[in-house]
Amino acid sequence: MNGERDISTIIDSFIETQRNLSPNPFLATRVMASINVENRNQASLFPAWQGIAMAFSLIVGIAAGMQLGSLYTPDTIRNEDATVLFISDDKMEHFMFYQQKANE
Amino acid sequence: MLDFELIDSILQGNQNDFERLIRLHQSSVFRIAIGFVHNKEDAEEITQDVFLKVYHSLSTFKKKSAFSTWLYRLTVNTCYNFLRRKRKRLFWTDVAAFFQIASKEPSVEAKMIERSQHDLIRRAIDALPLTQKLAFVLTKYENLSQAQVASIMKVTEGAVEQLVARAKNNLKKKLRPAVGFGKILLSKNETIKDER
Repeated sequence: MNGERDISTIIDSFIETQRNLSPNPFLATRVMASINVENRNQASLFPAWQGIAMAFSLIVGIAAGMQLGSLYTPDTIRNEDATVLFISDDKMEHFMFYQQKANE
Repeated sequence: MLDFELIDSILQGNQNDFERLIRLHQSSVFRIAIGFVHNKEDAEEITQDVFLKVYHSLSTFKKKSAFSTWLYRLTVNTCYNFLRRKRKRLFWTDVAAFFQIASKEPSVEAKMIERSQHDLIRRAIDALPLTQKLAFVLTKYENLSQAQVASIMKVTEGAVEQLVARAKNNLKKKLRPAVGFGKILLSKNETIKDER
């Protein structure tokens, strides 16, 4: 019977020892800091989206440029317009003109 | 300020009130956690985890029960999860220790710590079936009434009474062989069977 009481006393004293332990006084501050870090991480997701939007707009820009470029093909130029593009030899200055001594 | 008023204020975006809520309940959460893990660092980790969970799920609290009841349930679940994770970790530590083979004898100091009175009691509490352990920890560590424990465990008050009585008997049975002449003897053959 004495032993039974001893066991109860030992268990109670063990529990009392553990009950007397107190958490770190900065525990609440630590929890609040963790919450703030989480909130900040969630907020910092926005710049990531900004980067993605930037990359997407660049890709769209390049694709649009390529599409516009592919609209220009030799077939799209009419024959009569094509001659206009060549410089007429008649309008060119003769090189011989400079080689003649009289003109020096 | 009552818990419910604090909760309303927090849900309206007042974070300072959440810190007040933590300060109000941290000791209770910590005491329950220490009842489960018997280690200050682990209990602090659990307490921190519990309040992070509270912060994230406070909007789901329906106010149908007392906030403390909801908080205790959350704490108990977090403790269960923690112990499950720790058991897995310990399994791999044991496997690693097994492959390091017997050349490394545990130090005398380690043996003494292993056989200390408190370690025997801790192991005896840990070896209790989960429901008994829960009823015992909530009653003994947090001094909750049978009605409160019953509402946390969702059982009748009579069931709580029985669980606590069984837990005490089991502890006595487990510790009786280790008790002699009014103190726990640290003999070589002292071991407590883990029932889990």
